[in-house]
Amino acid sequence: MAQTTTVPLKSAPYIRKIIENYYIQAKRAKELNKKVAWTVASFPVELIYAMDVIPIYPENHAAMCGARHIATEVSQVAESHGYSIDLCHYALTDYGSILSKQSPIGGLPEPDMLLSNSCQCDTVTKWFEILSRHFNIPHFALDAPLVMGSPSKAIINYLLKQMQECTAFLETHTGRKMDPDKLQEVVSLATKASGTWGEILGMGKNVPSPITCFDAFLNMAPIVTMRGTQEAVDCYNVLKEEVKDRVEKKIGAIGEEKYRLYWDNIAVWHKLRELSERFASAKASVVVASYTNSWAYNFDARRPVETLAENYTKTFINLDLESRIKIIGDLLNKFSIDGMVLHSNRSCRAYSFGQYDYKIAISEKLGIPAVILESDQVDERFHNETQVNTRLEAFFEALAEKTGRN
Amino acid sequence: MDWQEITGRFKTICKDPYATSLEWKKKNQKKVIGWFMYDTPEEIIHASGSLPLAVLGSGKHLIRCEAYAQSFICSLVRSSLEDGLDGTLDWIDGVVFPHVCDSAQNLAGVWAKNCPTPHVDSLFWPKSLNSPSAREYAIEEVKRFKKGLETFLKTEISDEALRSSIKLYNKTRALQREIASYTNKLTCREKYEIFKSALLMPKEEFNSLAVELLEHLRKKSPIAKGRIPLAISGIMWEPPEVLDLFDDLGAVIVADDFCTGSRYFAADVPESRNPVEALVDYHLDRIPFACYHYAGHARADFLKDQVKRSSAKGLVFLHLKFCDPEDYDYPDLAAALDKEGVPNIHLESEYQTASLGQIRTRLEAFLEIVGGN
Repeated sequence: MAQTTTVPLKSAPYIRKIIENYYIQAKRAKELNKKVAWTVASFPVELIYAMDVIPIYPENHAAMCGARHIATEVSQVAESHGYSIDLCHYALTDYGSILSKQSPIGGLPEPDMLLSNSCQCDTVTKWFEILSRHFNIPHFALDAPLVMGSPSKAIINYLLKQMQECTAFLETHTGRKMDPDKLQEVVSLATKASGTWGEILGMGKNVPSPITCFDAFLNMAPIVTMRGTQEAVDCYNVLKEEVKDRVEKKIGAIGEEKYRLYWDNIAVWHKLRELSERFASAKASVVVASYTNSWAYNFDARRPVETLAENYTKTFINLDLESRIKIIGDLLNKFSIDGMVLHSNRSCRAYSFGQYDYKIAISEKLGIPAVILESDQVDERFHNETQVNTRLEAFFEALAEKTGRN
Repeated sequence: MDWQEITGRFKTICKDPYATSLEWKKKNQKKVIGWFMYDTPEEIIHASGSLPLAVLGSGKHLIRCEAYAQSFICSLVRSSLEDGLDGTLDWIDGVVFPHVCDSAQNLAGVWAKNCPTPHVDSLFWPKSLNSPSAREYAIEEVKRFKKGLETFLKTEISDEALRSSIKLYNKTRALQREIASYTNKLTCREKYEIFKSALLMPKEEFNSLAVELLEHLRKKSPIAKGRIPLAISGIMWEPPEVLDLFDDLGAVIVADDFCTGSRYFAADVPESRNPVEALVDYHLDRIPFACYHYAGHARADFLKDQVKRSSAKGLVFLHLKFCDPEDYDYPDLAAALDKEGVPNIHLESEYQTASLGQIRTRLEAFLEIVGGN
C-alpha cells in the first residue's frame, strides 16, 4: 500500500516533553525567583541563559496557536484593537493572545523585560515596542544591519559593542553581574546543540533522506528556545542517533522517494500534517529548508562573546539576495534537489520578497521546477486550498517530466 | 518671476518627476545618483559633483514588478521597482537604498539584480538610534558609502566640498521651513508640488525659485480663512489625489511629519564639525519616524506636542497600505491622541489609488466632527 505519511520519529514525543517541561518551569518563574525575558528566534539567547533569566518565545507560542488552528481568531482580537491584518501574524496572534487570554497552553508567563534582534526582520523590533508599552517594561533592541556576503569589520564591531550594551541591560534588570564562566558554559552547550542540529539536518543529504523538513519543523523548538541548555544537547543527541540509525538501515522518511525538494520560508504551521501527507503521497521528500538551517550555528566556543556577535547577524534572511541565491544553489547541489517549494508567506515580507528572484535565477536558469505556495505561517485566511492543490499538481507533473520518474 | 511662473515650474516638475534630472545630465554631462526613500545624505552625492534624484514611486499601472514583488509589498516599493524595470530610470548612473524597513532592504537586492543601474549601493543605517554604538557604526557606514561613490565616480569628495554642499542644503531647508510657515497662504496641492519638486531638481535652482516664491508669499493674502486646521502624520506626502481632498473639503494642513514634508527640512546639519560626523548626528536626531527604534513614547510625545504648537483641531494619519512600521505604531499613537482629546482618523491609501470615494466620505465626516469644536 502506498505510504502517505512520513514515518514518525520515535524521539518526537521525548522532544515534545522537553518543551512541555520548559514551559512548565517557565510558568513557575516567580516561585523560583527568576526573571522572564520575552525574546525572538534570532536573538543570542545564550546571554539570557547565562544570566539565569528564563527566555520565552512568543513566536513559538504563535506557531503553536497556528498548529492548533486558533491563530486566525486570536489575530482578529488584535485587529479589533486597531492592528492591521497586513501585519505579521506571529505579532497579531501574540498580542491577540495577551488581550484575549486565548492560548493552547494557558498563556505565557508575563515578561519582566524584552530582547529583540532585527537580524530576522524589522517587525520584531516594532512588535516588541508595542509589548514594551503594553507591559511597561524595558526593551533591548539588538540591531543587526544586513550583511553583504559576510559581516564587515564595522558590523562585527557594532555587534560586539551591542553585546556589551545588552549585558549591561541584563545586569541592570536582574541586579546581578554576568559571570563569564557561566557564559562560557552556556555558549559551549549552544555550540554542541547547534552542531548536533546541523548534523541531523545534514543527514537529509542521504538518498533516501531519513527525515523531511516537516520532521525538522516539528522538532525544532528546543534548538530555538533552549539553545544553551543541557536539555537541548541531550535531546538532539537522542534524535541524531535515531536519524543516524535510519541512514544506516536506509530507511527513508517517506518510504519510496521519487523527488527530493527544497522548502523556502517559514513553515505553514496550520497545515503541517496536510502538506506533509500531500508531498509524501506524491513520493516527494522535502529534504532541506533554509529556515531550519538557520539554527545550525557554527559557534566557536573558545571566543564566546565574539562568536555570538559574528553569528547573530548572519541569519539567512539577513543576507543580501545574491548570497541567499548562492546558499540555495549550494543546498540544491549538496542535497541532490529536484525541485523548490517557495512558501510565499503573507506575514513575512522579510522572507518572501526576493523569492520570485530565486525562481528566475535558479529555477528558470537551471531548469529546476519550482512552485510558489501562497499561504501564511499561521493565519488560515490567507491559505487557498484549491490554489495550493492546483499548483502542487502542476508542480508534481513538472517534476515527473523533468526527472523522468513518475 | 510671477507667482504663476514659479508655481508652474514646480507643477511641471511634479508632472514628469525625472525629466528635470535627465535634462541636467544631458546638459552637464555629469552623473545622476538616485536615492530611494527616505534618509539619504544627499549632500555627499552633491559634493561629488553628481545630482541626487529622489526615487519615490508613482501612480502608474504596475506590470513588470509583479514578477519580482508580491502584491503584499507596499506600493512605494513596487512602483519604484516598476520605474527601475520598465526603462523609466535606465539612464541613472547610480542608486542608493537606505534600509529603513524589510521591504526597502529587499528592494535593494532585487533592484541590483534586475535593473541596469551601474552603481547600486545601500545605506545600512542602524535602526536603534540612541546608543553610542549606533553613532560609531553609522559614521563607519557613511564613510563606506562615501568611499563607494568616490570609487565609482573616480573622484574624491573633499571635506571642503562636503561642507559647501551641507551649507547649500541647509539653505534649502531654511527656505522650505519659511515656506511651510505660510500655512494659510498655500493649498495642500501647492505645498505638495513645492516640497516634492525640491527632491527632483538641483537645489541651486530650487533655492532661487524658493527665494522668489517667498517674496510673493510675504505679500500674498491668506487663502485659508475659515479652513479647518489639521495635522497629518505619515511617511510619504502622497498620493496627491488624496491630498487634494483636504483642499476640496475645506481643511488646511498646519503640521506634518512626512519624510517628504516637514521631516525633510525641520532641522539643519551642523556646520561646525567634521562633515561626515555632522551628517550622522543630523540623521540620528530627526523628527521621530516609524522605521527607527526609539525608547519610550518618542513618537506619541512628538505628535501631541506638534498638535498643541500648531493649534491643529485634529490629526489625520495618512498611511500607505502594507506599511508595516506605521501599522505597528498606529494604534498606540491613536490611543495617546485620544487620551489628549485630539480627534484623529486613520486613512490608508496606495499610489495606485482607486477608492477615493470612501476616503472622501470619511474625511468629510471627520471634518464635520472637528469643525464643530
